[in-house]
Amino acid sequence: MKLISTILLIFCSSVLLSQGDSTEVKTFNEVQIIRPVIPEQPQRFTTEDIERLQPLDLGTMLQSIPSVSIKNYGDVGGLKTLSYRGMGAQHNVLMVNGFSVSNAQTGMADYSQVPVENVSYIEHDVFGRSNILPTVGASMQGNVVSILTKGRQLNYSKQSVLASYGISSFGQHDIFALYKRKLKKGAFGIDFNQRFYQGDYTYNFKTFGGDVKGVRENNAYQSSFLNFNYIRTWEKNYVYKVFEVLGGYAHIANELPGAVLLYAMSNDEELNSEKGYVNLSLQSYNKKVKGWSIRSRSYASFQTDNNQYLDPTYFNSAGFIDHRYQNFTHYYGHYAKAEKGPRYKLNWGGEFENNLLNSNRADFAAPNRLIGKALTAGEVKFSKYIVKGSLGARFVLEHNRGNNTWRDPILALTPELLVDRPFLFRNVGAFVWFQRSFRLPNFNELYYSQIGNIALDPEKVNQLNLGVKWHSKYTVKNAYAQEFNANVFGNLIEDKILAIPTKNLFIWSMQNIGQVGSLGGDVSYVYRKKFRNNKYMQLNVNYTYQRVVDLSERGSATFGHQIAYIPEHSANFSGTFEYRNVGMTHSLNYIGARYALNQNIPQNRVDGFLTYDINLSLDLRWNTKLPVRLNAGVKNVGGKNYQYVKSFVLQGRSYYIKLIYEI
Amino acid sequence: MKFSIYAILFGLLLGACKEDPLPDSDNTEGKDGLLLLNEGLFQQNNASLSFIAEDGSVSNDYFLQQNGRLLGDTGNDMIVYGAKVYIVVHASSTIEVLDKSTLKSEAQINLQFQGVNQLPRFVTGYGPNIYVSTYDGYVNVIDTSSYMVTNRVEVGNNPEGLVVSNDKIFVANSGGLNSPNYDSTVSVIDLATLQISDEIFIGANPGELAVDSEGDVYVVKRGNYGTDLSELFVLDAQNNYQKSNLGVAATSLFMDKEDKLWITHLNYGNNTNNVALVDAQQETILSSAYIDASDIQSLYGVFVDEDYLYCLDARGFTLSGKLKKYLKSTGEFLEELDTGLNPNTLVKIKN
Repeated sequence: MKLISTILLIFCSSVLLSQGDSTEVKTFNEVQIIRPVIPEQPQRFTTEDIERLQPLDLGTMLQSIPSVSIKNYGDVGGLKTLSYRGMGAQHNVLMVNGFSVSNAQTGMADYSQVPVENVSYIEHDVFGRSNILPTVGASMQGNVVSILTKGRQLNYSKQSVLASYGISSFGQHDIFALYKRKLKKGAFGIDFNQRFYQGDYTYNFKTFGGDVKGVRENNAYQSSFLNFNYIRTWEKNYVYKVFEVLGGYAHIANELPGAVLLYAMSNDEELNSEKGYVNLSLQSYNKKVKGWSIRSRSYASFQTDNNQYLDPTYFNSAGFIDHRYQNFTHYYGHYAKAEKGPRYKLNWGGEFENNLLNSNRADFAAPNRLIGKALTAGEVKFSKYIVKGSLGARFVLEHNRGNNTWRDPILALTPELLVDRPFLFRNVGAFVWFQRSFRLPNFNELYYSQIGNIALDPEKVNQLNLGVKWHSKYTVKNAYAQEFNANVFGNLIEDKILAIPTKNLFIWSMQNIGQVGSLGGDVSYVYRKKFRNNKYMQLNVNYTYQRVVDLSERGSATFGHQIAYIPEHSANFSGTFEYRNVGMTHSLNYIGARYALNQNIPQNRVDGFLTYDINLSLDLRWNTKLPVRLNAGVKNVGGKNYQYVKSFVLQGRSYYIKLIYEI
Repeated sequence: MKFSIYAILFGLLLGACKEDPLPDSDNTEGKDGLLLLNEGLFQQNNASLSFIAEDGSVSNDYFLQQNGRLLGDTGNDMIVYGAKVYIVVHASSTIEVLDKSTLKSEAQINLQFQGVNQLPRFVTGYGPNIYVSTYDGYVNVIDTSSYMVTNRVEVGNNPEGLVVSNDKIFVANSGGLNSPNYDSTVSVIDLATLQISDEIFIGANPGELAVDSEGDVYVVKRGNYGTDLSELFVLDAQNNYQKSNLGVAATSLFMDKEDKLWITHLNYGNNTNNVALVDAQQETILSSAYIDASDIQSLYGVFVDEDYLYCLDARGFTLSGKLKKYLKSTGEFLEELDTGLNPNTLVKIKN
């Protein structure tokens, strides 16, 4: 019993809703359905959702979330960054198994470098309602993409093995293997993931002025990931404790095809990356202090992210570029959540983070950033309302070890307020949310050769959201459910950091430029139904309208124009139909027209596009003893080569087949 | 229900395929006017031409209109030479050869050497050849009848502007890709032997060049865009190309037919612009501020014909540009025209 309780606690600490298919998880799911309407649950994907859609990477998966724009520079290995409601990529945080992934040099996550084979759960939390206990830094930042891996998920049998092999068009091979073993007081897991992609493909895309044809070259990609985890659990006086060690290593060799430049030979640049991490966590549950039940977590993280940019034919005096950057981040923190009865909640925490960057470039700094963070939050449930408020503070010191100079210290506060009316009428709930947050300039923006500007201020954003949700009545075991969400939002970004040419077209510089405002809304609808005769249907539809405009200087040529690469309209649809052991999922992703520059003229317009994927699944466990599942499908059925970012053409129609073995 | 949802979404797909029609080609021969090269932005494939007819009408995207295809990525320089117009397209690594009468492309010269883009920068014509500087450190000799590269002369790092003076080619070696360790020389190529005959020290980051009727060569030293300021030097042809400082800051040059040197300067520190005028015969400054340039945002080039002075405003380098027209005799502002992105070179088409 204790073991089961511990397992449940660990799982509760990680995720609100089910992402596995084990009995325990389903039990937990049923417990959760007694909760009232929660209008602002994070957008989330379960293991089943991921397997049904078979996304190329995490970025591809996230693009179906309302109000999210994934700026996509290519398919396999192409940089994919996330923009939420017009905010830049540095305004969101990627968290893996409860640890934020940090790279102070770029300040942003590349979602193309997160394979999904090992992912059991994905969520995008903006309103701070996730049940995953975050780091203090991630909690303050808001806008958190959080994933949990299969390797770290506790196994309920003595040992389990998961292995898969996928082969796709354009020379893509994906290999994944996972082994987990239950120990006497915990568990151990190790997983390995490798991707090969040859990457040459023909393209034919439309641009202002006609069709552009060619062959995408210098586009190969190879990645290897190795992760391990060890979990130990124990209990004393009904206080449950969980100690975790997670570690891993990744190597990524990425050819950089760059933009398609008309009439020119292809590029020959490369980016090689090595990443490593060790994360430690000690969690405690059910500690009782004066009527409060406290759940807490102490954590430490050590991360390295080394990158080599190689251009073998650069026309400098050396005849090549070989730039190497070593990022090292370590942080330590403590985060606690306390509950007193059903009415009161308190959160508090503190964190210290240190970011270091070294490079082999003479014209680059050697920065050392020290950040102290503190957060306090409270929540009170009244008879009709839930009110939650939080205040975060960050104090930043930054030292350039290269020339022994210090930047001016930064003290920034992050207030947040949520007023929630779970039952406005019947099953309709509503909430209003405000947050003022900021993001620090990254090391590239501050120090990169002639581009960097050490006088940059943090970029601030004020977010206001009004949300409504309707939820159908829950039925036993969620046999039938409908959800409808609608949000209207208004954001104001101040001191936006932009690269602008200040010397000539080749010498740009980072500047704090004016304001960006966004107004818009999104609607989403989910329909799920399990039929009696082993049929299942799930439909997901969402649409986002976002007007994200330059408000920097009244009377300027771009005042009131849509910001580059933010589509005004975007929409997604997916429909899953399953019968016994056979499943079919259709998914469509529509990205409306965008502009390549902030001036909204026809020459800068990049056409909208719609992609259509079909995914099929066959579960041989249903009627055979074989623990095997088979997935196959067609991506981008229409076969057109689209470009999300001007001149960065995406691959056309592709086919894949994947075999999954699981015991 | 699912079928109706699919039908709606497929309708969206079809609706997304709407296209803007291309402008019709203008088949008129022998048109006179001004041809403007708009540089565009790197990796956007949006270099373009604007044609300003004698009646003042402007046709933007003129290369596309005439040829049904795009010019390429980063148009850097353009000259009229003989019956042709030569356009240097830097990132596409091409030279577009237009018929001056129809302004349609006759040839596209791809500049690649051993499978690597050479990245052309500037062009000048002399005799039966054009000479093109390329960032790989060469001046390429291209025969104007075969459009073949017939010779390559190695110069300094990342050569930029080039002019011909007294059977010699002067090439500014910027070393821009070694920033902040710029090159600082002008290479001199003997046209008879195609050998380097001299190397003249100028200072950090030489850029554009101009030549007057006496063969004096004017060189912009761009400096490091910071503490090392921009300067303008003259190499005296009558005195073995001895260097002297004219005491004027400069970013680009235009020598008119009356040996007046028009000098533009964009001050990157305070973002102000200026047009100065030098008498090249006397080597004296006629005006240090010829026009009121306060309305110009990013002065990127200048052109002068018999009656008018034209300033090319790149407007911060990310907006469509402006061609500002002034009365040459007084500097009085007359009008402005909308252009493509980052106008940098204007030539007169006279058939």
